[in-house]
Amino acid sequence: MLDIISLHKSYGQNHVVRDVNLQIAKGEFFCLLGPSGCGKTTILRMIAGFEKATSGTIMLDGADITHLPPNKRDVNTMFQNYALFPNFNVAENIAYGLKMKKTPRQEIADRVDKVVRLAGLSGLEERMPAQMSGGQQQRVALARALINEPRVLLLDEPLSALDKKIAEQTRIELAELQRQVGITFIFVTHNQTEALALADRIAIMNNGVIEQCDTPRNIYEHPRTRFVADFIGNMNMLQGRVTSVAQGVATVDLEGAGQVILSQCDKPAAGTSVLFCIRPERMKLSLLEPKGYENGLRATVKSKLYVGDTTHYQVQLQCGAMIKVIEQNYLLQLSNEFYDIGEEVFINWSQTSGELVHV
Amino acid sequence: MAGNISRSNDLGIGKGLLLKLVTYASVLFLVSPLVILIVLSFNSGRTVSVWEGFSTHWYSVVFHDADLWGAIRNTFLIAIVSTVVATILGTMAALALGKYKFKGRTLVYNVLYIPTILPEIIFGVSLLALFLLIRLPLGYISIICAHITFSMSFVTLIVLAKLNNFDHRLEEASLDLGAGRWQTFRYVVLPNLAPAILSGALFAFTLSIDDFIVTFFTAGATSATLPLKIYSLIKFGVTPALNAVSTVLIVFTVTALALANAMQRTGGISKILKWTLAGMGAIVLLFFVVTFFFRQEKKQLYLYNYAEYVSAELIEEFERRYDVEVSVNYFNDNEELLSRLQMGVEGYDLIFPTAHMVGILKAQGLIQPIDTSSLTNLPQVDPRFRRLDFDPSGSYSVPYAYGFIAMVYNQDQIKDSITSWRALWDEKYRSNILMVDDMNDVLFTGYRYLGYEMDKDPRKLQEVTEALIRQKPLLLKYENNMTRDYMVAGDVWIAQTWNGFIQQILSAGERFKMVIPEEGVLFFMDNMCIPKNAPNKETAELFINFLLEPRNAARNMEIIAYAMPVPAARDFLPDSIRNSQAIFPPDNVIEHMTLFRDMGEFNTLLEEAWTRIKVR
Amino acid sequence: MFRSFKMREFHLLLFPPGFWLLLFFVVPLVIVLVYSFAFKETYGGVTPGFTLEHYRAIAEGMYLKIFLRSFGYAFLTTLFTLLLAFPIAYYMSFASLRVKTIIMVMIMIPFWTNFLVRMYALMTIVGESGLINQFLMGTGIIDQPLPLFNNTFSVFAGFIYWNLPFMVLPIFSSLDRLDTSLIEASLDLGASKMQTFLRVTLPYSVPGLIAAIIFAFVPTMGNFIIPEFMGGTDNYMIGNLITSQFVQARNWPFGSALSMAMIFFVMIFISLYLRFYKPSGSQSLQNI
Repeated sequence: MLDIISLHKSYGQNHVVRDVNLQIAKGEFFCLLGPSGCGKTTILRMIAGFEKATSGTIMLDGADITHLPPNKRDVNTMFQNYALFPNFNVAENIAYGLKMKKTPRQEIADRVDKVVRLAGLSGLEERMPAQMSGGQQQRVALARALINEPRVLLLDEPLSALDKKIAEQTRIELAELQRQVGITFIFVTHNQTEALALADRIAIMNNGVIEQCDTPRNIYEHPRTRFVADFIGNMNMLQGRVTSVAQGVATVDLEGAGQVILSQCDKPAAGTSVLFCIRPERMKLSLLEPKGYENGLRATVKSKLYVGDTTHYQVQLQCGAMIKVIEQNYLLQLSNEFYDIGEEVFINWSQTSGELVHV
Repeated sequence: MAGNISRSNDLGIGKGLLLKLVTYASVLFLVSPLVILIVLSFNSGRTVSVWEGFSTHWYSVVFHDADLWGAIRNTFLIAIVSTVVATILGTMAALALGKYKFKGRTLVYNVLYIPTILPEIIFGVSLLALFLLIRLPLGYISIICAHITFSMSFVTLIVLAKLNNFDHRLEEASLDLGAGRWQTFRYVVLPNLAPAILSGALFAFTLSIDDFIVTFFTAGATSATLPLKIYSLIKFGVTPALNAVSTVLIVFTVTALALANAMQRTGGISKILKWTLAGMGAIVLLFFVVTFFFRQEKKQLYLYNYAEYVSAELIEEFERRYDVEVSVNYFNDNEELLSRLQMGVEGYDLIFPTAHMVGILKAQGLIQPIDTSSLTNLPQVDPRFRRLDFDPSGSYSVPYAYGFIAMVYNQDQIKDSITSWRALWDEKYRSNILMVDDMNDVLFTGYRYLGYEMDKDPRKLQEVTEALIRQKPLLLKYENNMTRDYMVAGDVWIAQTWNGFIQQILSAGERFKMVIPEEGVLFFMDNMCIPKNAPNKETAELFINFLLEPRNAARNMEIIAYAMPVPAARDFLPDSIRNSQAIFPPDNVIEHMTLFRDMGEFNTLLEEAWTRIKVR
Repeated sequence: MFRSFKMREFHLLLFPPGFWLLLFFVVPLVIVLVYSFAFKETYGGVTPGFTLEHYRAIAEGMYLKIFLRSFGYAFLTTLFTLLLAFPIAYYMSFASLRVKTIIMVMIMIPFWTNFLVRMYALMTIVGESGLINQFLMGTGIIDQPLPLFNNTFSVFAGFIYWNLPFMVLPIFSSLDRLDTSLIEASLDLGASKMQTFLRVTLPYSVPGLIAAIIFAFVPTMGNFIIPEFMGGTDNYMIGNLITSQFVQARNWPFGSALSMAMIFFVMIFISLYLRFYKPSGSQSLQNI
């Protein structure tokens, strides 16, 4: 539906977006995720038409829209700061797009009424933007974009200006709304929780390129690059070399820390250098040798941090590398196993946990 | 306006006693003169600063002063037109600079910024030079052009500041929602700039209403604004009416401030304010329509004269009798009269130059012949005063009044008997001497002090200049019109001034004594002339004839205290005037009188000498 | 950052105001420049030609003295006014909202009141028979009026009275923007109040100070009303000299040369102003 082909943007020598290719399907909730300055907003603005692509093509439903001005594209944006017109009230803000298209008066009124109800803004039509809370402004901005029934709605960090609680609430509403209207959403954020929670697919960007584009689950469980592994959630990463691959199980020699085995991964050839990645919550600490786990490494507890639902342990392997392990507190309480700083422990995990990333 | 956050703190910062004292003392210093002025405007007395009782008399005087209303109308007319044009031009410049990047933008920026800090006097003289060169008569058009020029830049700066702070995402949002660039400009940019444009307009309006200096150089006869009138009132004779005018202006300022503040607080123009503003606009418009309508019916007559040199009562009677509206503007001396006419100030119907100046004006083609056949009272004029060498045909001028420069002193303060101009050089009277602010009279006194005749010898002039420079530290100041006030209040002991003023001072008390110096006095004879292009020549002739009527001449002489060459008028004079030696000097004085003659090329040297004296 | 869309058509908007400024601002200055080299006619008027006579005359001690006097008056006025204006602005910026508002009103009223009305009001107070002398003599404190008027003292009183509100506002708006936590941080880090003032508060007020100084200095140099109404015989300033050349002596070329000299003098300040204020030159205006 929206095809981005070899999109490139540079300011002089500064290449902000490099050879980006994306295909976004109709009705998809698509997310561009990345740290600030990675080029995600620039892509969004090129889709909206605020910036000109240096090279490449943007196709909407088969039509080339790369060089159309913003007002000629069937695409609307919800701005980060909402960009509500301070000189118009809520109803006038929402009606703006229709008015520009010279829609008949009665139709404008009807559609505004409908959208106002949909966005939960009933009774606020006469308010000026300055008189509204952040959450309310956000809804107006959304309503103002949606009323035009665009083929694609672009959302630029729509939740970043809201309080945490309101942002969480809004997140749920946004997902619900997207299902109702069925419009393609392209969402830009630096907040991975938002991205993981909302998106059908996520494209992770770094330095102007897309590192990985996949479902939230795959992104989290199977990062393809070191950047993605590091960027999403907590991750322990250890340098290693594949020593053997047999019957779908790879053995990896972690430099100085011992050997680990894992199944369920892209089987790299023996001898390749890899990065062994494992999430802290996939590991267990114990005082005894591993039982029922394929992997176990000796370590010393260096620090612990109680954070309510979990406890975060920093343990040191014999090679000196630090590993983070997250234990569920209720499980610790059940087994009455708490570990003190300085205690010698084993780190255990199953062979189904962990991922190898090519270096 | 005041910031919204109070930074009151417990650190003791900004809380020192000295700080507090300085602040409150300064605020008192700033506000108390205005408060006192307002209080004094309700004073019933004639003196400006001595309280004699409560009265709103001066407000009714102001209210019935047609000249003042004319000035107010001019002020608003000029302010409204120049504000509208300056706001449009200024906003255009701001939009071009803010929305379009081009080469030479910095240059345009600078050209725009400089007018906001260039001294106004530079604006005044340079625009005057331009108007004279392109032969644009000084009047409404010239003032409006000048006001637009200096207020435009302020509008640009204010709008540009807003434009630079403008949230460009609003424009993007508008484009995104399907608006074209022009629609975006119309619906998003312009409405959000409106407050800045409005405050720019208000600023321009205030600048225009308040401006004195630029208007001083570019105004014509009929276009005097309120600040010019106030200047003229301060310079040519303060009356308590000035207190009332000032109070009205202060109240106007405070009201406008309150309104602007209310607008700022509501964050825009609320409906009530909109109606208030619209109502005020309507009243102003009505005022214009009404005054314009009434003005059309009446004949006009514009006089350019010395201050208080025609009886106001007589003017009123003339206005009533012939249904004419008379306006008077003042000049300080003959030099200013000549300058203003040369600058292209048009609109005056009747001027009152001194004899030698008549010759110059005639030679410069600045005056036109008078239709003497219409002057039925011309035979009343003493023939010895007609057809003198500056106007041999007698067709360019009609004699008005004559007099001389002499001295007056306060016998309570000076016990010596004074007989000579030398008294003005006497160390004992340091800082208690006044001289007139008039080149010819001052230089003449210098010549006579040294025992010289006024001739064209540069060396003598040099000596005279030095003598007068030597004298300067002894003087309080050069003063033409306020001499009476200074003398009567006892602020100075001795003054060189004209006999009319001396007569007024003498009538204020026995303690004053006139001196006709033994070295002789300078005689002057003022005349009535009609400038070329005078719009109301016939009315001017009517007025000349009216003044020459013996009964009127007598009434006039009583007020101005100068002699008019109308012998028949003497019969109508009260004894106090008829026998006043200050007005009609004895024959032995007349023998010593000198009439100032045009010095031709030598004038340049005289003027340089005068400048030199003033500068030292 | 992306600078939104440009309105290329808008460069056309520059033509009307540009033409206006050219005709009524640039051309008049050029005329004055040309006149300053021309000859004077006996009864006024200008004969075209080229002479440096008028500039030579200015360079003579006498007229130079007037320039120096004007400069000195402007400098001292700025200094004295600053000594009053800064404490007021400083006090205001730390006062409670109510006090701040009251003082602001007291400053705004004279700020917007007509200049001549204000001068006249001051004259009723300091004049020779003004209220101060009336009061002092009435209460028998003095028996001769104090020399408060028609001298250098009254000229300075007039200039300070005139400029004070114009100076307070820009300084205040600078100080008012200063984040109090910076002062607190400075005190917290061991600086004394004086050190804090010198190193935090004062540097912050510099933009306002510069605006205040320029807006006081330049108009004071060009003023001719205060010396005329409030001065004695030796308070003649450059503005009086220029005015008299145009309005009385009709020596336009000399007056033009004086004007050019004054522009040159003021240019120094204008260039300073442009250096500091190019991007947001109306900063001080916005706060008015």
